[in-house]
Order: sequence, then C-alpha cells, then structure tokens
Amino acid sequence: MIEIKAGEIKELNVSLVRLSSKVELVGAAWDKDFYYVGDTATLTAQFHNPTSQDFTFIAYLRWTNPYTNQVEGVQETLVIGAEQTAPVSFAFTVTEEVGKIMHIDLIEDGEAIRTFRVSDLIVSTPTGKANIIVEGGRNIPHNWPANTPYTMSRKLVNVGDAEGTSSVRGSWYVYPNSNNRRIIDMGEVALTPGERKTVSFTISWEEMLSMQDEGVLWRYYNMGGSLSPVIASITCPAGWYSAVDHDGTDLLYPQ
Amino acid sequence: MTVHFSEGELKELNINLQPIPPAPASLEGQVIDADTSSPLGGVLVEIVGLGSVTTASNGTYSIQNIPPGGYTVRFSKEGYQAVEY
Repeated sequence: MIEIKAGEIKELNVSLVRLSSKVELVGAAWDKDFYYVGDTATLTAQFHNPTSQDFTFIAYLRWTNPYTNQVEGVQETLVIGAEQTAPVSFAFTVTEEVGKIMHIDLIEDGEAIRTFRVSDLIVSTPTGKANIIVEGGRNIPHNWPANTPYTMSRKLVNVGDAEGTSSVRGSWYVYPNSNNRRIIDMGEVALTPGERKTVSFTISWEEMLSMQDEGVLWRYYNMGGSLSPVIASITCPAGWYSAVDHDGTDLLYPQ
Repeated sequence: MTVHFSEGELKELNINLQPIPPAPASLEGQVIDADTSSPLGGVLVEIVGLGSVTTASNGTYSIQNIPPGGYTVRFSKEGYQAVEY
C-alpha cells in the first residue's frame, strides 16, 4: 500500500520480471536411445515454474538442417501452473535433414528469450550392419591422487541394426612422440543393436611413474570404436588433475 | 462583511464554513523490463478501487486527480510477474 497526500505528485518506477526468465528446464529425455530415418522421435522436457503466476509460452524444439543450414523445428504450447512442474513433448519424424544438436527455445513476440540445450539426437541409417560408436563424455577425474591406479572408461553403443563386434584398445603414448606407445590392454566387444557396454582400462601408479618423461605431455583421446588413452607426464608426483582442451582431448597435468 | 453593534444590542451571528476540497494528487513513473532495462509498454497500472491506465510505448504512465489516501497499486502484463505496492 502506498500513501498519497493531497497535492502530491508521487513517482513510482517499477521493473517487471519476465516469467520466462524464471522458468527452468529440469529434465529432458528422448523416448529411444537412437532413431532410424523415418522413426518418430519424441523428446519430453520437464519445466518448472517457481513463480506465483501461471506460465503460458510457446516452446520450440530447434535444430539446424545440416544441408541448408536453416533452423528448423517443431513447436508446442507450454502451460505451467504457478509453482508447478509440467512436461511438454515434442514429436517429429526423423529425416536425414534433422540436425543432431537440439535446443529448446521459449518464444515470446517471435524472439527466443530463453534457450536450453538438450541432449543430441542420435540417428542411425539402416544398413544391415553393426555401427558401434563411442557415446558420452569422458570419466577422467578432476583430481588424481598419488599412489592410486588410474582407470579410463568409454561407453560403447551399437547404433546399427545388426549385431557386431568392435576392437578396443587402451594405450598410452608420449605426445607428440606417438611412437613411444605403450598398450595397456586390448580386446573385442560384441554388441547387439542398441546394446551398451562400458570398457575400462587401468594403469597402475607404479607403471605411470615408470613412464615419466619430464616436460613431455601424454595425451588421451579416442577414435571411433577404439580407445587410445594418453595422459600428461608428471613432474610432481604428489597429485594430478585433468582438463578437457578445446579439441576434446583430455589432458592430465601435474598439480 | 462588517457587523455593526448598537449600544446594548445582543446580536446573534450564525456562520457556515465550507470545507476546502483537498488538492488532487497524481501518480506517475516508468515501467521497465528487469532483465533488459528496456521500457515496457502495455503494462496495466491499476489503483485498486479507483481506476487504471496503461503504460505508453516508452513505459511511462500518469494517473491524475487521485484523492489523498492509502492505495494498493498493481502493475501487470502478460508474460511478466505482476507486482503490487
């Protein structure tokens, strides 16, 4: 309540908060792990409205057409009651023109005022063959204490439409001298369509110390269905930490 | 008015005083977007129980001839969280 006195010219300046700037994406999941061209893909996203007012907006699932570079997508009306969490589902037919990277935009007055990144769409073209790929991020810890073994893992998934095997290999090498490569272990992984398996390789602390080469980096990367972990050499054995550089390579540096 | 008294006179004089109407007040200001600080037009500014106006495209508003008193003032626009004073 404001008090207005006789003859007064009262000034009251106000700033209003967009409801959409408070709404949060609290979850999003595809109805399948991957899709073939021609499938109907459905992404269900959960939004939370922490405000005391109902929220109605247009939500747009967008991707960039890799052939035309045009932004395409499907839209749904998003209605969330005050202080409620509600789902919105986007369904579309997967074509070769559907881009992999997906965003959900909240639209107001024709402009995207909030954008949320959601998991990439994984599309597999029917081939009658196995297609085993490396999925997901890396598991390098941020801290690697001394005197502990180091385990690197990768999740493999068969996005093809037939059972198949992929050779996997864990190795270390001194970067940039890739000839100084040391294989930890190797083998084969068999996967049915849609099946996932995690492959891990472990190197002991003692073996790590034996591979020190001061001032030379050891790198860790992966290519296709194979694993080629490499880490940075250490000059201080007290502890290590890891980082991911711009080209997606995991590096371990002396701490 | 001049009143004249005669010697020994008892004069009766009754007076009616008219109250002076209170000077009208006004309320004015500007409404902006909290995130972008850009002016917000089309905001409904309502003095509850008295009346309302809508902000101009530059976000400004002005309500004139408000009798003195205590009022609840509400600002609302679709897509925004309403505020009340």
